[in-house]
Amino acid sequence: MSSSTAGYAVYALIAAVAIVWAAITYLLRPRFATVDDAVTRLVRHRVARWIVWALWAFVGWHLFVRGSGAFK
Amino acid sequence: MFRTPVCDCETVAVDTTRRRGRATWGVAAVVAAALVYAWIASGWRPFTHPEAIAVAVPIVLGGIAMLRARPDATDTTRRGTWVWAALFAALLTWELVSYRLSPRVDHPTLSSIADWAMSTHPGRFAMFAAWIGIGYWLFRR
Repeated sequence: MSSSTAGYAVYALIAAVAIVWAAITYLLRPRFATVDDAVTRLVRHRVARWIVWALWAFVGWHLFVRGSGAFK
Repeated sequence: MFRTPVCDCETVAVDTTRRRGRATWGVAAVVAAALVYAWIASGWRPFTHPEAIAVAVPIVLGGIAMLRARPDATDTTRRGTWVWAALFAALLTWELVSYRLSPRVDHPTLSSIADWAMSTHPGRFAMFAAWIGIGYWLFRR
């Protein structure tokens, strides 16, 4: 297995586990926290709320304004 | 011909239905406007002033929403929250490991994968719309 294949495989595995866990928590709610519950609990704290905003803003700025490969 | 309502609850039910209808049209209009905005914004090139402004506007709106936020205080279960935290930590760790290694073609990061997806206008539009959608989901609470 090449390095790049392993790299993509790890991202795919994380995404697959997240999708499966999202489905499980949605079907078994309210026994388990859905991603919405987890984020709601997180943003109750003022500092965490601004960290979430900063992370989201960074992703947008990095991808769309400082993007390196778009439209090459 | 309409009969007189038997009780106040009938009027309330009709009003609620009308409000819901207006809300649905309102939501549809906002979603359509956001999609048009995303299409226009995703058409501009990186490293340009129009693109910087197009990205800054949602960021500022998100910041204002954060200032005005009154998070739901309803208690929800904590069970399983650690799984979400672990998944986020795993993603962040793998991103940092890949970022430190080179060449990029052998060690893809989320940015390099996103660059590939955004090499066309429709792909860039989908990413921009998803970013706005995630922002709305985060800051509506």
